[in-house]
Amino acid sequence: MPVPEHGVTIYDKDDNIHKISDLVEELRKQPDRVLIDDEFGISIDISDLDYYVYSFDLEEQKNKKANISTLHHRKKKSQILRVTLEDGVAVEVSEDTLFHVKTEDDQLKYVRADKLEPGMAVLSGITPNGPGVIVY
Amino acid sequence: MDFKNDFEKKTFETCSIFLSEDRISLEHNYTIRTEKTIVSFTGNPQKEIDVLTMEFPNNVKLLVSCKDYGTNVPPAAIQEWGDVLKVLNKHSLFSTYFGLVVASKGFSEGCEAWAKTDNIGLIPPYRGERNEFDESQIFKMLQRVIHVFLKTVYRRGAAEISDNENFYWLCYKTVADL
Repeated sequence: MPVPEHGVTIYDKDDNIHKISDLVEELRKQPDRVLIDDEFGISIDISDLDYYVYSFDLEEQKNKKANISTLHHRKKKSQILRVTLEDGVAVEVSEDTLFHVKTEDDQLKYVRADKLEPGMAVLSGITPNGPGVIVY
Repeated sequence: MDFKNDFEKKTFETCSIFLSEDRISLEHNYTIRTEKTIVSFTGNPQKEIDVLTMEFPNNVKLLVSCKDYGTNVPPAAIQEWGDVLKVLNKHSLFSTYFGLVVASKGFSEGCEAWAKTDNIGLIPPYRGERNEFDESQIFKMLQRVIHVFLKTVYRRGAAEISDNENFYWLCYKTVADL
């Protein structure tokens, strides 16, 4: 399965990868889907469509496809951070993106992207490969 | 309409954009009347509940709590609001209640855990280091959340966002960028 070098990874039901900006441009033409579109950004309801991200299933302890209910796309420019995992996969996310991180005592907590540190084990579904350790 | 403070008045005015006057109310020292029974929070020790209620179509009710404290809202206040919501939803015959807490000075650490547990929206969102916002930002956030909440309920119904932490996250993601 192809994994992009960076960017938010959104899959359709056939495992094709879509860029969030392309999806937003396409779906904003359907006004009834648009939950809000103002100076801060746009939110689009796609709960009835087959788009997925990989997210960590706490019960099954593995990465699984999870249906996306809403696309949020900001207009305001903010700091974009690059998170690189030990398997070489990287994503670029905004500073307030939340990641599920496993602590030393096996607990899970949310950590903002700008608070991530090398060595942290990220469980959020950056890739279908599963959890990864942050390199930088 | 009697308001306790200017923050409460502005919160009411922001909510009033979305509903006609007969579907929005503000009560102080509220005695909760559920659809099955009456539960009073005014016993001893007295627990003062002020509530701004927005009644949307299809028996969806959004209960807004205004906290104009001198400092960050403590977790106990969120826990209390969660108790109110649990009582109302447990004894509800036809309505679905959602809870939102709007704080002029933001929230202290630990609030988000209680908010997620009871599926309560927090405005402004608790984000750790930056936890204070201008009043105008707070009311813009409130306006945005109500707008998105209304459209989401219209498209998907209330059941989905009343589950788990969904309303908490709807609020967080709607205002995290502001």
